[in-house]
Amino acid sequence: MDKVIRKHDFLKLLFADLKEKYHIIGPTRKGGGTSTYAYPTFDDIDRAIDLEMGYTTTMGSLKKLYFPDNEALYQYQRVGTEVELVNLRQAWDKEKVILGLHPCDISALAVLDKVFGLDQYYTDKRNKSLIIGLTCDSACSRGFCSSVNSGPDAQSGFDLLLTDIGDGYFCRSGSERGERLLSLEYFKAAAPEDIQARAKKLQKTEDELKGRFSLDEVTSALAEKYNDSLWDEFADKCYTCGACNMVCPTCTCFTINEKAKGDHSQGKRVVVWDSCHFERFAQMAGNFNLREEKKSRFKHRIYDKFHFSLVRQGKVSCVGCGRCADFCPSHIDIREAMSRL
Amino acid sequence: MATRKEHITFCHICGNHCALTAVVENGKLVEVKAGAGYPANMCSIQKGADHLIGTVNSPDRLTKPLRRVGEKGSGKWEEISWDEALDTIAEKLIDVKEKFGPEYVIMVLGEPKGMEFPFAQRFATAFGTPNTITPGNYCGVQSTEALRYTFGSRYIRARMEGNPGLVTIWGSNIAHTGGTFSQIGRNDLNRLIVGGDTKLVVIDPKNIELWPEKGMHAADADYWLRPRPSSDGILAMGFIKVIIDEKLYDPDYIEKWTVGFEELRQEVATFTLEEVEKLTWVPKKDIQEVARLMATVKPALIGNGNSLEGNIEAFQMARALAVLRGLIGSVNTPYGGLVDQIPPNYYPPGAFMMSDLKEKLKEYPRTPERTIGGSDFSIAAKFGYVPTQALVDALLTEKPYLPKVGLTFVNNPLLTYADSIATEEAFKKFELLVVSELFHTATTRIADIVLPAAVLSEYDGIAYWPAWFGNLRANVKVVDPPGEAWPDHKMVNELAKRVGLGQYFWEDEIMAMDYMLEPLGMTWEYFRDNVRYLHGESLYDPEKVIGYNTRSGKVQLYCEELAKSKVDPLPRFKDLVKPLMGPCEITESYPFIMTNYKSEVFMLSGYRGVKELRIKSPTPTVYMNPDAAKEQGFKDGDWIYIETFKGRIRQKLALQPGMHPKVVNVEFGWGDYGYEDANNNLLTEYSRPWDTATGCLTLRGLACKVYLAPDEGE
Ligand code: SF4
Ligand code: SF4
Ligand code: SF4
Repeated sequence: MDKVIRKHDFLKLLFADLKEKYHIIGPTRKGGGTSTYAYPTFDDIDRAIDLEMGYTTTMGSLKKLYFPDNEALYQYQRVGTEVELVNLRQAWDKEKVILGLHPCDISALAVLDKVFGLDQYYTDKRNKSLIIGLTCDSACSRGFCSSVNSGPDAQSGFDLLLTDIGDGYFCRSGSERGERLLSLEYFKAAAPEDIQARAKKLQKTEDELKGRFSLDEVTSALAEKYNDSLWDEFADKCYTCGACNMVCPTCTCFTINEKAKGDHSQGKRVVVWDSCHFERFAQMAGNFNLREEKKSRFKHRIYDKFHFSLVRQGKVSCVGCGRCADFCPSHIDIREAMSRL
Repeated sequence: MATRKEHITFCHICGNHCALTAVVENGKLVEVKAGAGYPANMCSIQKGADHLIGTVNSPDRLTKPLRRVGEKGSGKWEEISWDEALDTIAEKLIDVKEKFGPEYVIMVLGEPKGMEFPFAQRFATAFGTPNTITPGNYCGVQSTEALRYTFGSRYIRARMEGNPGLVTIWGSNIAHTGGTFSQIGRNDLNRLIVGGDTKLVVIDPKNIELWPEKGMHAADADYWLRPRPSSDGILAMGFIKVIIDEKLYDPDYIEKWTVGFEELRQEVATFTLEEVEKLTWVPKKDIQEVARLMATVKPALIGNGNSLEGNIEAFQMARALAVLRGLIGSVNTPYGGLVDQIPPNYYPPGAFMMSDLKEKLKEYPRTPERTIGGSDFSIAAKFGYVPTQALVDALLTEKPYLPKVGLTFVNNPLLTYADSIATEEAFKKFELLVVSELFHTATTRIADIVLPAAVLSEYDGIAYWPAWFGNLRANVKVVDPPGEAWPDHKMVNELAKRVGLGQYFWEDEIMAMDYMLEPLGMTWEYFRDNVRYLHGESLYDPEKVIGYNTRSGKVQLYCEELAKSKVDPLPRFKDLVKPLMGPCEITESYPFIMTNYKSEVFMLSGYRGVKELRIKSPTPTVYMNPDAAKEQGFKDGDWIYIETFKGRIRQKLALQPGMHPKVVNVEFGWGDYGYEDANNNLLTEYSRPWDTATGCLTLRGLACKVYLAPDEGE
């Protein structure tokens, strides 16, 4: 179903209604001076004025919500000669609504679902999420969603999908919950000119994104060029800092660390986001390292996104959000790397 | 056809000094990224890039020398030529030197950026003034001198390559403002965090971001201790007490490699852990647990930032930290997390100011009688600087005399010195105030002559600062400076010629850089084109303790030499509590404790008008604990006043869960380009008491109150 809502009604009425039932997460820069908000970031929203719906991109992605870094799994404790275990994983007490998620990030959730779909805490959180997406007004600086079929429009993965059409949002439902929302009185029927306005907006963004990247060429190049010398050139610029992995909405590698008190009488097991760029990542027992060389680690990340996942799951696991290039200290851009291959 | 060129240069914005690749297209700087092949940590918010791109391309840069035409402070200027500007200044300098003496001319310096600092120091020596004012009194000197008195070197750095088992980050926002005095690189730290074998302790009132891309904060560390601001010395003594009382030290090492253990043992018997808990607000249990880790996990390292250097016992506080490092054997041992290094062999600023100018120093000695502040500051005098507030005091009290000329190079005392109102009043008393700057600032506003400065990357320069990092970097010219802007050291060089000191200076600045590099056997050109970066050489030896370059050859827990400088040879509990007294005591009217943090976006008070930065940090932000704020009736995003006995400021509130409920953490450095009422130095006092060793004064830890302020629609 398609409807429209005036921006004023969105910020006043819909926001208030949502707030009653949900914990609201959205793009914001509310913290002012602190670096956390130097870029818009997904965070708790108490007041509609803190929402920054016109944002282009965020540094961290939404994966922190469903797959939090540093999440404690359980605690152990010595009690006499026994060891006591306490489950520390927590389910959400209130449902959350995610406001303003861009199409690439909506697609990224589907990638996470494939990886964590069997984890009951994860699925519980996903079930307790209402996704209100937002299509992009213009192409972000280094994104290439249209080349990997994750934008600028979204077909699924949302409950509602908004498009800014000037004084209002065009709203498309993507689920039954979305349909129900659209039946609220401040959503009005979409007129033909609204539908046109939406199409125009998306076309504009689509045009801006055109030619950024060709998936077919890339996947075939990767299949052939594993040993190309260009890889050395890219790897030389890589600081193995792991920033690309952290900001990537589809990087899901983690390690499990122990946080123990000094005398080990008590401790916790925590999930820590890992990076395939780190030397220890592919370290095996017996001091055997699968990818000791920086170059092979650099290559691995790209092959993982564009080759292995295609071979195994029939779909690349990069959603083209551009974050890895934006936040790479060397601005190493997958697209550039690919086009040169 | 478009030209595109990539240059490798270095960032000077924070202590990381990352190598940068500057991409220039058709003469315009368009992109800045890491300088492949050279060390870079790169802040996640890319402030190095924003500073450089924003500054060199800013339409607001000063481009011509300006002379005041209206009243002081009226903001009315006429453009003049460099010749006219330099002749006017030279004439005044010669006149003052003849009539009053060279010491009536004051060099006012900020954090060294390029070569302006050694040039200005050299000018001071040649001209004959002992009065070079620097922020050494609250930045760097305490920590590095404490290391020198304790371990015999200020070049001590973290041995991150040794996979430390314990990293303590104390008062340093490492991901954003440089990696502590010990150079804890954030990329290295990140790897350790994921590795899982390293325990991490953060000691900071702020829940600092440790790894912004990951969203990891201090609260995610193994321990996050939130001491009362300015109580860090007591906390260090608390750790020391636990280690001594529980005999967690290595008696052989203590016996063989340290002096003064007995004195230290007696000192820690003068107080209890309960007292430490009460004064520092850190639970006794945490003090004990962290102390045990420090003493038993190897390698362990403690890195601190300069936020500890903001109180009247700053030097002894830094000594307490150094003594703690010595007690756990973390410096120069096979199992230690910190190690000494030999810096590259070049002429450091000290050589510029002295070595070949000995006869000048004899003619115009830097003696207490000739120096502002007199004999008050024993360590400052040795270091060749006069504390900032001593200048303000001299100008206001006219004691020991009233300085006549101030030559200020790219720094902004009206925002950065304690007590902005007194500082403004003081600086207005200069007969001639010359300010070289990139942009107009609070200080240029009251100047008589403003000189347009070029920024690093608009000229070739050697960067060596902080000298104790022991590295040397080639900052290359990537674009032309705007209009007629000059590098500061060129200004000094040309001025020297006009006051008859040409023989002590150089025909041009490149020759001076050749001189600086002479001991390395390189010219500037060679260094720039073939070397670019040199770092110190680690002295680490996995087999043995490499020893200490102190007078005793050992770690000086108790330091005899300090007594000669009238400084207590041992940090004492009774002295370390002094920063919590007087205006820092909580009362009914002032129920909170104010501290302040450096912007994560701007470099200190600088570059406030640069739009790339302003977008990322639009408003001054004060942090409070959510419950404490709620009790006051505040909501996230409210504007509030923060008031100390001295004055009040207005900043926007952000809530930070986990912060100590008694702490109000204000942002430092606002006041230019709007928000004059957010200037943190409206809360601070310049007059005594001061740290007698280094001239530090109370910048943090003042008692304050908070109340709602009007929202002016920002
Ligand atoms: S690989 Fe890069 S562009 Fe692709 S999803 Fe991850 S961060 Fe986005
Ligand atoms: S962000 Fe860039 S430098 Fe860092 S690991 Fe990824 S590719 Fe390498
Ligand atoms: S501001 Fe600091 S971390 Fe950022 S690029 Fe410059 S030196 Fe590196």
